[in-house]
Amino acid sequence: MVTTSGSANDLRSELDSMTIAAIVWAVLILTWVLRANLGAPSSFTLLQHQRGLLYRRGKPVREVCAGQHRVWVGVEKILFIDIRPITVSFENRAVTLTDGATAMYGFSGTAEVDDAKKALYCAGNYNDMPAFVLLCCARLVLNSQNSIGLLAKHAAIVEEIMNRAKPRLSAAGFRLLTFRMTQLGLAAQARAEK
Amino acid sequence: MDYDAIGAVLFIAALVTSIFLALRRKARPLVYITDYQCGLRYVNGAFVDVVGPGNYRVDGTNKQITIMDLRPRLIVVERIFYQDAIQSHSVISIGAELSVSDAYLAATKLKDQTVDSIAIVRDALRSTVSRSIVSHSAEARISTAAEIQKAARTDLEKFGMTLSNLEITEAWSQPVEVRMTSGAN
Repeated sequence: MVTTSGSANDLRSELDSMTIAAIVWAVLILTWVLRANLGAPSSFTLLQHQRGLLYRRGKPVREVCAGQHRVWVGVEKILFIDIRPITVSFENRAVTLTDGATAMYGFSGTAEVDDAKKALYCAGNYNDMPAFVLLCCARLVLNSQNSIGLLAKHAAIVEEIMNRAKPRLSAAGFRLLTFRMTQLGLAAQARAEK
Repeated sequence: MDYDAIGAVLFIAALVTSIFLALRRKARPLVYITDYQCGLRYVNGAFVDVVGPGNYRVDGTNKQITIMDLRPRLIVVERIFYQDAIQSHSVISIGAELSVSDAYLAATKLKDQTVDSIAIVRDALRSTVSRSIVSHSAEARISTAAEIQKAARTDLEKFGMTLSNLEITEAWSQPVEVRMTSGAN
């Protein structure tokens, strides 16, 4: 009886060690097969002035807001986007008017990210987009003015630049907050003022 | 050898293998490529292929992945002074978006994709506009912009870059009558 009971226990322990080893190997093989889909659990915290875009295996999945977010590092990634206003300021830039005179201008403005995904994809560095759009629009509008119109229609010029810039910025995921011409005059006038 | 011994050996082997794999995983850096990027894979310094979005572990010793950003790069080329087809003093400014069309060419032919491409765009711009006559109408601007874009694209193609959304932000040319008056004086 004692012998029978002992051999049954031995058989159980033999089976147990074999089963454990088999399970460990199975887990190892499974890990190896699924290695591309496995990541280490981690978490990221986005501050209130940040937005994020969650990527899984390189593809955007969803936009994430401020707070803590769990991700599988290696498979998932959160790209941070700062939504604080971007300030743009340019001074002493020259533009030729329709009558051949040269005008000097400068402006300042602010824009903020409205759509994080659009903003992230709009340019290699999304912070450059407001400056680019405002520069292009300001030059385009001023280039269509003559010397007399430039001085007489200051408010209308600002309005036109803003009207041109707003839809372009909106298409790129930005919202124009402020725009102000800080300098606008003919080059000769500017020299005399100096 | 009984089952117990075989089981123990297999268990230890599994543990050793997992430790080895964990160490190997740690030694190989992770490269994460998003959908607006692509990666150039090199093995022993030789280019192998272009890889798309995903996560890749590369062997630091002989394999390498260089990431290339495919998003547009915003450029402004301002106040280019030139003489047009009828020798009038003219000025032009443009804004455009540069982007990578062939990652391998862009990585191997250009040291700095943006700066080097701007020089090419500037050359294409100057050579195109100096052959034409500036007109201030909106239609003329659009057609001139298309011409410049086409010329720049042809030049940039050899370097794996492309140009899009080109707009003329400033165009002016000295009127013929003014030029003739100043010439007579």
